[in-house]
Amino acid sequence: MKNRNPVAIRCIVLLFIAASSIPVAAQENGADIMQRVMDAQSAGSCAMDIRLTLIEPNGDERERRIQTLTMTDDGLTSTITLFLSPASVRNTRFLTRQRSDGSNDQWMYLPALGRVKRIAAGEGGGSFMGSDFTYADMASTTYDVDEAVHTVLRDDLLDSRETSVVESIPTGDSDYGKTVTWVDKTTDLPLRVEFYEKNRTTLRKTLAAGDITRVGDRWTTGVITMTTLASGHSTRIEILQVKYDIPMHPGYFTTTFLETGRL
Amino acid sequence: MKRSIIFAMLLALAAAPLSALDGFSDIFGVDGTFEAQTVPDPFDLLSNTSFSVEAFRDADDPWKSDLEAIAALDIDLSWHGDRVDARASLTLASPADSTVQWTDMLTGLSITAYFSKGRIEAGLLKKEWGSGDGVHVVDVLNSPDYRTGIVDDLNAMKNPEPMVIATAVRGNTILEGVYKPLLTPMSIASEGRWSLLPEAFAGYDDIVHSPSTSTLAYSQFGARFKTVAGPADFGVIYFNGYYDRMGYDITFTDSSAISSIDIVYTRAQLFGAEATLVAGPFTCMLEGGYWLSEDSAGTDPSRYNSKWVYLAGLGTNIPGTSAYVSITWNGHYLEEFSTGNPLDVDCMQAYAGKAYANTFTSAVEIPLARERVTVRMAGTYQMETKGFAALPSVRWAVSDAVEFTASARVFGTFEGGSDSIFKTWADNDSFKAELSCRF
Repeated sequence: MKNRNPVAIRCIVLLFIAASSIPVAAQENGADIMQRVMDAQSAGSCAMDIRLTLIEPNGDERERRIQTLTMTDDGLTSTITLFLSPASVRNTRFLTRQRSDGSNDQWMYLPALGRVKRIAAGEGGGSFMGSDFTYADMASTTYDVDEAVHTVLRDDLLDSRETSVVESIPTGDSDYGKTVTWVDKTTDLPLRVEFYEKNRTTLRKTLAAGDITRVGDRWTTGVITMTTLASGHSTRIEILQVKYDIPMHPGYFTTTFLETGRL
Repeated sequence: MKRSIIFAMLLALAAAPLSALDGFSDIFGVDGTFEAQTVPDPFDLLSNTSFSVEAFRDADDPWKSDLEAIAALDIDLSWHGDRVDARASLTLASPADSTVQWTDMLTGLSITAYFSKGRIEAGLLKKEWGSGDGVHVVDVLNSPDYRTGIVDDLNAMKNPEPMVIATAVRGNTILEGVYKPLLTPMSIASEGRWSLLPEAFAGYDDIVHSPSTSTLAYSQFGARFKTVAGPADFGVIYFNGYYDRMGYDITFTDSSAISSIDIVYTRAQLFGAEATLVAGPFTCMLEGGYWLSEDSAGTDPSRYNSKWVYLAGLGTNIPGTSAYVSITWNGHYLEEFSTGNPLDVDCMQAYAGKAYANTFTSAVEIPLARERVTVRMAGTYQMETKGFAALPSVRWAVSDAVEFTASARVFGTFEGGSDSIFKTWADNDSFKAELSCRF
């Protein structure tokens, strides 16, 4: 056993030292990945035409149509949402203005009353139009970098796409104990999100994204389906049209437009 | 004549192609396909037909009830041009009796012209001033309709009135000017279960004289300035018009018998304000004002005195749900009030003989089963008279077009309470079932 080749050993050691001194691409952490997710979804302005379909466990469907305009200017993000159907909510409009410090103002226009009313933003936990999305989900289904502790769990292959699986545990008050997000490495879009109860072990809802297409220089999700496991009810959001970074008249984001529907 | 106009207009508008007006069609085009026609169809039609049965409790026999069945058709027609909107709202209900007025059928008729910095709207309108949730003290543009009691729908309890409103706009700030050429008094029933005719005047129908308030002599005008400041919306109001409830100028004979009763209306000015403030999860609503009466000295028993009015309300979503709850306190304080003359209109209308009145109103609305079912409980309690009204309801959306609603109305007075409309209507408790269909 003493018959070792000192030269070979020295080569192996040198190779090891050399190998360890070659700079290796740093592994991304969860925060970096979620920052890219945020960046992929942010825009100076955005217009969406949405069909939201509520699907009962027995297959019955109820359809809602919504259009939204969003504009960010000087740290202020304004969103106006118009409900087109069903008839019971037709022409109902919401206006939200969110500042960079997180505070926001909301107004609602009810056509039956012909009146604009300022409302409190609420905590976002209520169901949006009876769907599987909460109001908070409608704003975003992933936590921002500073809203949670993000940890990369593993890489995974989902629907033939390479993804990073990131666990996010919210640092502040949240409706969920944690979320697990499959982020497409090519598009930086979430392809699947699991929402867990506060105990962080019971799975409450799952979100699946599909129909990824390119709109301009952006990747966009065309269909998002949220399913509540306990009830078997699901909600499908189809983005019928989306336009990014288009010029928008600031008059859309006023209480006057909210009331009259006219610029 | 008026009915002919209504039906002619209905036929004219119905003859045109009707389709929904989509939302941001200038950005998305029509029906989400901007390659298609870029000019949306200008007509919009919303219709609702309903059938309801209301059972009124028989005070003498709990196993009996009076039934009232009503079939109704509501039509809302609108036309949207580049710079002009026109709108007509009609309600056709059966059975119709002699108490039905033409404004019960034509509930809205308006034309609105838009300019770069504002708009002018004219016609038969229902408008709402004030920040409160279903209750206001500065909402002066429409008189209330109490002919069928209190219902859980403020808009349904308003009389549509002719008016012109000019609005100047700058961002989130508006300045409205309103002109009402006529006075539409508060509507009350003079007979039947909902009658509010003062007992003192029962049997005096022949000597009651009402002026015609549908003349320019009863013109009214006002203005409201409203803007957004940080977390608050606030507005200031001025209105020069009339109290919408009647006063009574009573003439006696030498033998102290009543020889005539002249209905009069009190001219008054309102200096008011409204505000909505968001604090965390709460929406805070405030209204207040001062009515300066032509009888500021309080010496004319046929006219109402000056008074202060106030309102404070709070609304919030119940955490983790879509349920909403609100509570409102409102009231008034009469100046120069005296109980010395029981025929003084302020004395007759006072709650428990006091110069002030305070009322609490609350509502809870709970959506269930993914908003297919809505449970709502609304109620009001008048402190001085201990009178109350409870208006519970359950609404079931059978489909997006069809709804079934079960509701009740309960009126009463707690022990020790005094006269009020709640006591007058205590025998009018009812249960109602309604099926409606939108198309």
